[in-house]
Amino acid sequence: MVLVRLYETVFIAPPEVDDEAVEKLHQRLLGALEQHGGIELKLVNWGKRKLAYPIAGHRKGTYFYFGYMAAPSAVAELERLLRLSPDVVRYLTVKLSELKPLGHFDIEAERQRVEDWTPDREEDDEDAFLRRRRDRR
Amino acid sequence: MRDIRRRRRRKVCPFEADKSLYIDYKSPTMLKRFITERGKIVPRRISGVSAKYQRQLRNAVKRARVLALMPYAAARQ
Repeated sequence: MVLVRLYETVFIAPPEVDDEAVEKLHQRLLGALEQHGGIELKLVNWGKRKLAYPIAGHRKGTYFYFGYMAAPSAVAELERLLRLSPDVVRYLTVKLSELKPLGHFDIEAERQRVEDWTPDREEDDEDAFLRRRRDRR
Repeated sequence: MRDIRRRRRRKVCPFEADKSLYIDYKSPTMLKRFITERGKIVPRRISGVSAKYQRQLRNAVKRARVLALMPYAAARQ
């Protein structure tokens, strides 16, 4: 019986990452998960946000949320991949549950929770500019 | 003898008063209520947050800082 935990990893890519690079990274993460017998919930793009302080010369970043169920050993591998990727400037993994057998989790319910979550976001200068332009029409 | 005690309204923990307030490092707009202009975490003697929730709040703010959702230190306006 494999014991797994619910984890979530939020990582930040540079603001100008292209979808292709993200897809490549996503596939790599999935590959690592598979090797460790983990299951992906979802990779969600939270969009571009202003960073509270500059990281690696960037003032903005594209945020991604990656939810999954995996054995603890998978986290080390996933974080290694994120650390080595030039398209990731920051990552943070958080434990969401204790170690339990895989069958214990309601995968669909967890997937729904991930999809329903929309992070709050304050309007930044770029948003304000776009809104004003929309309003003028 | 000297009566310097002043009547104060007892502070109520906002998280116990409103159960729908959920502490999450991913919601910076909610956490923002509990930091100063300079980005410091407001002590619970000021905010009235109970020890239990102040602990959760502290961890959430620290996580949000790692992800640049909140500042470690903000410049004065």
